Amino acid sequence: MDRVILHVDMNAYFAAVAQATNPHLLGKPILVAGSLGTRGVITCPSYEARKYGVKTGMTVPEGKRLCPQAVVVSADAHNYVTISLRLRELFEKFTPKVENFSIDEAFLDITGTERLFGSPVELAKTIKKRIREEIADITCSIGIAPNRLLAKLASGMQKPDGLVVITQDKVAEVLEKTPVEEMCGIGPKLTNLLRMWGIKTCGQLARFPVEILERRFGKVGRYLHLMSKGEDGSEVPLYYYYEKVKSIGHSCTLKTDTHDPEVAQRYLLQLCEQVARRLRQGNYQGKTITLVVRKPDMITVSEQTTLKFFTDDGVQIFQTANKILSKYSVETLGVRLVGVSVSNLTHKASQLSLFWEERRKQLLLKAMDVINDRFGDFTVAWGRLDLKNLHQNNLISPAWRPNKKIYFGRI
Amino acid sequence: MVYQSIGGPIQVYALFEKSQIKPLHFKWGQRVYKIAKVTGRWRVPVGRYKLHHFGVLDTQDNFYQLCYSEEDFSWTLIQTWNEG
Repeated sequence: MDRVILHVDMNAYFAAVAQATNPHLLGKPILVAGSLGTRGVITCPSYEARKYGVKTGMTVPEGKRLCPQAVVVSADAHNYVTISLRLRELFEKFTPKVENFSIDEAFLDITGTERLFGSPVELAKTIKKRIREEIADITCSIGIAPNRLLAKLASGMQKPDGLVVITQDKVAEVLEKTPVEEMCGIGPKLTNLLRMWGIKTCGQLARFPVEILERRFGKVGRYLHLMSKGEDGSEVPLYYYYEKVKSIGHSCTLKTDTHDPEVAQRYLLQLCEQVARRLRQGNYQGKTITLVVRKPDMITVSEQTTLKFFTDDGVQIFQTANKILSKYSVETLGVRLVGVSVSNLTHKASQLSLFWEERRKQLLLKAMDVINDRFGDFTVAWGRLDLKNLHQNNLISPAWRPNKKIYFGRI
Repeated sequence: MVYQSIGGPIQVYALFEKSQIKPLHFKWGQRVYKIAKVTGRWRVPVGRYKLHHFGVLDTQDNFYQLCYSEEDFSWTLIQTWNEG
């Protein structure tokens, strides 16, 4: 039986949720930003604002310059997460094979559901209708194709509120003129490399000798060749499968640029504590600590260190990240944004340490977690943190995926 | 056009039904507002409790964001939408 995959992509998701929650924003250009101040970064402009050239990643003043009448709205991560979870619940009513690709995108393998829910197009229309009736007045673009790669390509072809079908017999025709950068997984760097060889479309890529691609890109070269022909054998996993977490990180833009290492360290300590708490909630420990610093001129630098042991201790993460920070000259270069992430993760082994000092620290962290789980984050924290001036983050990474264990951990 | 933060306590008449909370009226100052539509609902975990947020429209089509705290059963008017 031929596979049928649906890719559901919510249109301008954060902005659409804000507009659905407050209908007075409907039809108006709005900019969803991490903070309303002049240093806020736009995470999602509405379609009305996009017409004026506003893009994700611009600062609020840049967006307002292009579209002065735009309303700036503060991001509300919990609202987006709540709706994303409800969308997933709805998708699971049609198939057990649902994979969240990000907070606002999902793949559904609907192979063999025709007798239950009608043709794929009918099912896609039902999903669109039920989202609007049961969840929120928001729209999505749906792509229908024989695999994930083509379904994602199809959903991007018509926005907003699109519905595009790519059948197996039309694959070659569609891909012949499709620019390579429109395929999921081909980023700007790879696009430029392919351009140097005169490859602009998937059709050209398909005719390019696979041996040369393999020699230059290794396994990726082979995969590129398959992609260009619209072949993708990857499965949509069953609903209970959650992809293994690869890294956990947090970052924040400082209230004002700073040249004071003490200020940068205070932000860093808070971020390290947040990362460590999420590690412990998910029962993870990590070895590789990465520090990201963005300078006032928007140039971003990052460096990582790999420890000899796994850790979930915020102070340990902070000490490691701070060592990297001390190499960076905060006084002269300045800091606009600071971020920290822990990767190289393992599931925590419940082995007790032989050393009393280490055990004492573990017990202390456990006690702090119990209090913070009960009364909220940062109810108890290290004395060095300025609890009255904690950085508030309403943002959520677009790459967020439902993982009930982490998000609803111990609630 | 801006949100106006309020953050003050309010009295709310609500229906707890089918595992859901449905705010029906709220009293802010001396005035009672009838809720015509709940436009959004989401939860914010704070420790072991949750804050239940609601986006609502009154019968005059004005927007309000209300919040119910599981911890002390209190209601707060978070913000209103000001067209001016």
